[in-house]
Amino acid sequence: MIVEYIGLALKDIKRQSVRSLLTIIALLISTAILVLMTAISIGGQQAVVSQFGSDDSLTSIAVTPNQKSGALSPFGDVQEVNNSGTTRLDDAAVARLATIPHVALATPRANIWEFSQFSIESNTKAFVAQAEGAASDSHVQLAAGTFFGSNDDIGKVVLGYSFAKELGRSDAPQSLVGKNITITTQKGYRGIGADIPSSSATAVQSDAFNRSTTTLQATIVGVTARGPDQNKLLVPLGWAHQIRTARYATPAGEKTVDQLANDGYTTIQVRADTVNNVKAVSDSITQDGYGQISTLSQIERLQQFTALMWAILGSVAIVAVIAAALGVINTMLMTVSEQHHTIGVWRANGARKGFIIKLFLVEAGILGFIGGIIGVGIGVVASRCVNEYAVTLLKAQNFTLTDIAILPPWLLIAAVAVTTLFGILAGLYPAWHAARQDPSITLSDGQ
Amino acid sequence: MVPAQRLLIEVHSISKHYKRGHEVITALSDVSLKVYAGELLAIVGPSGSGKSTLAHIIGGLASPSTGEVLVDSSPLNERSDKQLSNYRNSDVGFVFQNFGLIPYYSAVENVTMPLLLAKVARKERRERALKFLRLVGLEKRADQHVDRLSGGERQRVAIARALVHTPRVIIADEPTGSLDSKRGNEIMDLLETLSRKHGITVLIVTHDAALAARADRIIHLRDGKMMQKEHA
Repeated sequence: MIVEYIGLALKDIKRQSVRSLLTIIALLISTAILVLMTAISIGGQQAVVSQFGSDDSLTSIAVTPNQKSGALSPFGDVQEVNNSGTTRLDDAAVARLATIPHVALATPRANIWEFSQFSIESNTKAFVAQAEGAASDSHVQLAAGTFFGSNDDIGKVVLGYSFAKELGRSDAPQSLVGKNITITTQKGYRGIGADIPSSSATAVQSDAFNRSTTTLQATIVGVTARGPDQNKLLVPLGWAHQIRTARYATPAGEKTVDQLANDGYTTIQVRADTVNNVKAVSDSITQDGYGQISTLSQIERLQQFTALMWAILGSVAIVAVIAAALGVINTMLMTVSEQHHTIGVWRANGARKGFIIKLFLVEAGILGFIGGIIGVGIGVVASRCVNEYAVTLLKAQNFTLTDIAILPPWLLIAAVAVTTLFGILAGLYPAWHAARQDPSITLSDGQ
Repeated sequence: MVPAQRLLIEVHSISKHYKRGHEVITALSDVSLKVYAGELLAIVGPSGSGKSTLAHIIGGLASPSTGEVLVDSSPLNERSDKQLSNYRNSDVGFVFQNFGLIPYYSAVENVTMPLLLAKVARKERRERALKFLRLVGLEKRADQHVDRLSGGERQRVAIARALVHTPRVIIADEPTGSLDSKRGNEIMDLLETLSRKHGITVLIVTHDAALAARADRIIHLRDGKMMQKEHA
């Protein structure tokens, strides 16, 4: 019998094709918004999960030079370090932090600003180099290979997992181990490997040097697992010192300035012995005058961020769906009003009230279903456009986050089901209104 | 002609009141009549006399405010919506002045409506509908949308639909009201044939005295009251 109802409903939809089309457009827009908003929310949540993928990372605390410097990017990285009036992060600080109760590990990290980009052997793709010097005892979780044997492993790097994913090697990161990478420095780089101008260089020669880059070669020894280091290119701390040491030729010989020693480390990664002790360790670090950002607090902040995102995006989607449902109610009420006489004819031929109700509910459901199917299609296309745009935007800001809008199959099915159900619910009142019309009066009205 | 057939419908002292705003309108007042199986009965009266209301009550489309209608000695007003719907679907065929067709359905789709409600299989529905469209001379126009048919053709489609489920009574409410006299006579001939040759009870509501004269019996209504009393 449902086939008969569908056939009759389709005839009525066809009869009022323009109005039905407008209703379907309202429904498909709301469905597309629903799909897109949910996909972005899911993408946001998965980004948090991927940033803090391992349980080990929950015990991590990033120590910063002072309490005002703990600015975070939405992706968990320290965004800005303000060195004015700070407690410098040096080896003494590392040793001091290691003595705090419940600290299992304290290891320095140094941003390397001197790198611009890098490419991997037999691959033309160039990546923005967000490089960090890391001590050999960093306990970074690896997906493949090994970590640095010592801080002085010059020319060795550990590649972030995201780069492996970008290269399509996420399933086989081992294949990247042993590959050579070519790193291009910023212009005017004066660290190890740079061919600095002699003390007798002319102004023109010095200017040409300041506009030139240096190429450094390195070998990949490992690939990180998913987690806080997945977007980074890690180099041994000793090499980082040499990279960050600016060299100047003087008539008296080469003069060097170890900028890393002067500035201090960017962060010190502290790991609490258990998740339960993270709060106590964080408090101790703060009392010592340092800034700190624990992974747990980052997760809390990011969860607040994603919850807020859910609320905002969800509100937009709900408003759109309510507007579309009002459209369905309006269309169905107009149909009932126009079909006044037809309802009477059906009743005169023996239709029960239940038949009339089902007829209008099926029609409303079909409007919802068609709107849902097309809306999901548009939502999928819109999500892909958002991903394309977002990935391009994030790459320009040194992030290699992949999809920002994620479309699991259940979302597509659920969106169609929800829109269809919403259509049916919106049709309830008009259907009930149609069924309770007195056939004697509706037929007399048509006479 | 005095009917000698079996008693099919008994109308006992029915009245029908409508509320329009604060005003109570009496459409029917103390009407009683008997309808016999196979007879051709005309209900005649001027516009607003309550004849359509009476036809709707007999057909189970409306219920009386007081009194009762018995079909096969069973009161209609004690029946549920489901039972009344079944009564309209199996025992009654309606023909309306404005045809009562769905304009965006084809002739055959209109005729199959009662069969669809009776859950008759699709193939059988079409076969039976075509048979009755043939009877009214419209088999070749079966798949035409009814809004492309003439008034006379539409009324014949309506009659085919009223017959398709082989009802016991056909209630024709001003069946010639929208037709010219030639087409009106053709429709009246058809209804008369159904009664005389096929033994179907036909109840015609009309204000046309000439049409009514062709009926076995005539009931006159004026201002909701019968002009001559029938004895139950």
